[in-house]
Amino acid sequence: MYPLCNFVDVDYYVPGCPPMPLLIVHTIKSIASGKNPPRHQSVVCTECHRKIVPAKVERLYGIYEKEANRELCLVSQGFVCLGSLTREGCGAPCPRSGFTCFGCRGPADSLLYRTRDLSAFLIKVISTRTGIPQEKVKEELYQNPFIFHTFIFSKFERFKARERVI
Amino acid sequence: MSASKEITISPTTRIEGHGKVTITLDDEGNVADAYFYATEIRGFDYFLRGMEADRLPFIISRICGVCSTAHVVASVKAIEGICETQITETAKKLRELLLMGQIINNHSLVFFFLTLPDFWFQQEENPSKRNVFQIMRERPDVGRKAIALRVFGARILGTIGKREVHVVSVIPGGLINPLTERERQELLKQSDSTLEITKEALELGKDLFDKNWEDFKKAGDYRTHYMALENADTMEFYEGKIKAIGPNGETLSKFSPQSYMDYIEEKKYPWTYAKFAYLKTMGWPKGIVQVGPTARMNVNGKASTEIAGSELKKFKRKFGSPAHATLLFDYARLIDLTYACERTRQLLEDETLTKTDTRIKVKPRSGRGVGVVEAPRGTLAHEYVLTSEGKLESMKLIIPTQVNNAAINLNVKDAAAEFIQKGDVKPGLLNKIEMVVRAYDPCIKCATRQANQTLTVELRDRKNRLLRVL
Repeated sequence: MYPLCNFVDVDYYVPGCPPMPLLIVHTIKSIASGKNPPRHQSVVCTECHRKIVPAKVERLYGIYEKEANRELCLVSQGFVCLGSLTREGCGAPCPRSGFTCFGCRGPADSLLYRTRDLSAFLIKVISTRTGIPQEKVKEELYQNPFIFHTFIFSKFERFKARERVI
Repeated sequence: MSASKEITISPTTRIEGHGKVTITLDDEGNVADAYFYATEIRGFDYFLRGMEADRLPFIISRICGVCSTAHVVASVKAIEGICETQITETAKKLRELLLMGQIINNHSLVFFFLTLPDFWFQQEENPSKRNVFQIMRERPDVGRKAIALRVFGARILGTIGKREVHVVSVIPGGLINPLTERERQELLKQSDSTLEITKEALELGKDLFDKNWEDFKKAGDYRTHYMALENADTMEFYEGKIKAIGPNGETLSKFSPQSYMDYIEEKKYPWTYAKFAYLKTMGWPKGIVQVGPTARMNVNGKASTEIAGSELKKFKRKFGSPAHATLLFDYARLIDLTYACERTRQLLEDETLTKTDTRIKVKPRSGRGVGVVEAPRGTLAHEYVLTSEGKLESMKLIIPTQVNNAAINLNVKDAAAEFIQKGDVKPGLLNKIEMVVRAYDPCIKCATRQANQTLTVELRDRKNRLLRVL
């Protein structure tokens, strides 16, 4: 998979599926007044109320396999939540309501500029928060490759217009 | 045969997705043929193969931003069909409320923003004025009410579905979150003013409709079959049986959602990316069938709410049953909207709505399942085949616009023949043809799902230079 900016010049990436209404308003306002739109840099976890507590779970769970605790981090409970990779700015409606984040806002700056390897990063996060060994997490995740590729591609070297994401 | 002239409307405006209409005139200047094309392709059926059933509903909802909720609910129902899950009463009511929110949101968009400008202005009016912004300039109160109605629809989706577009709380087995008493009271408070606005919209729509009715009475009155979800002859959006009626109103068949694919068949044509769905028992092209607001009025004898019920009776008295003229879609849509507002109120007044038993456990299984709901544009069906690992093997979606596709084409031709005679193209004609297309409110981006062997994808940069052909 290739990002759009490899083929055409992209002025701005407005993240989100769909982008939040206020984000569109702020973006248009700043472009109209000749400024750069405000940029979100951190991850969805910063906007989520759930507490990250290292836990011990046996395996990873699908969304409808068990009911989620309302206060604890979804990853600590064994769900594959992509909040730790995804750009903030949405207010975390999905993890707040008990549904895992599935990355519709694309990669956060930490991925774009530093880690760059999505699967390795996710495996590390899941393994630390659930206590499942990394090899086992990798094995389980790779059975469902769609987890990574619904909204995010995995190789960020190809992504040239990093500073264009707002 | 030499086609002496061709009229092209591309793109057709104020619809969802990218479409095109071409009208071919013969040597004498009469209409020889007319086509409505879908000019884009999405390919959801292909790239989702192998997806785990868990995440399916939330990706499927991305097929359309306008009716995402209807797609989520249909998708979840299909998975529940495979797992043979019976959800609780509370969950059923909440899902119906979500669908009502969707109808309010969508129909107010279609009525105020897409079709109202056609009725509001004279046909000869400068096209640059014929839009919702001009209406808002002339009558700011109408604009404010239109937005208030849309906000209410979005608020229902936001409160129960937890996101306004692409709701997340609906999962196989019910809903993740129950409705709290405070949320119920808040929605109930807002529903008062909404019902008032809807009544005004209904009166406004009827007035404007009457002015245009003479022009359009004969344009696009092709006699087809009709199909809609019904529950004991009453309007229904969430569950019930599918009833198909003939052009004279006789009941053809009544079947359960699980056997939907036994009754409906699809046909491909190479010139458009949208398939054509028709009734299998009648064959092609005899079994051309329509779904949507008019179909709901034609199929159902009554509606369970007060105003919509009496409006439905008036509709039947005035236009007969079944009614065939295309423009009645716009009229029927307003009755739909009224029903949705009243039904929302009914559901919200029910105190058992806040019960917390919204979710039951689902055992994943392999097999085939179908989920059917009434989406704003008509009967929507999702069929999935899941493997034993809970992954998608294949899927088939029958989208309302696909079902209506044949009727749209026939009625565009019918309307073109009515308006164009002896090569005389009157001003405002193209908009009249577009009005026929718009009445169906076609959602092309959902309906484009056919990939031919010869499909090519052209990548172009913004200066329209060809970069690569895939």
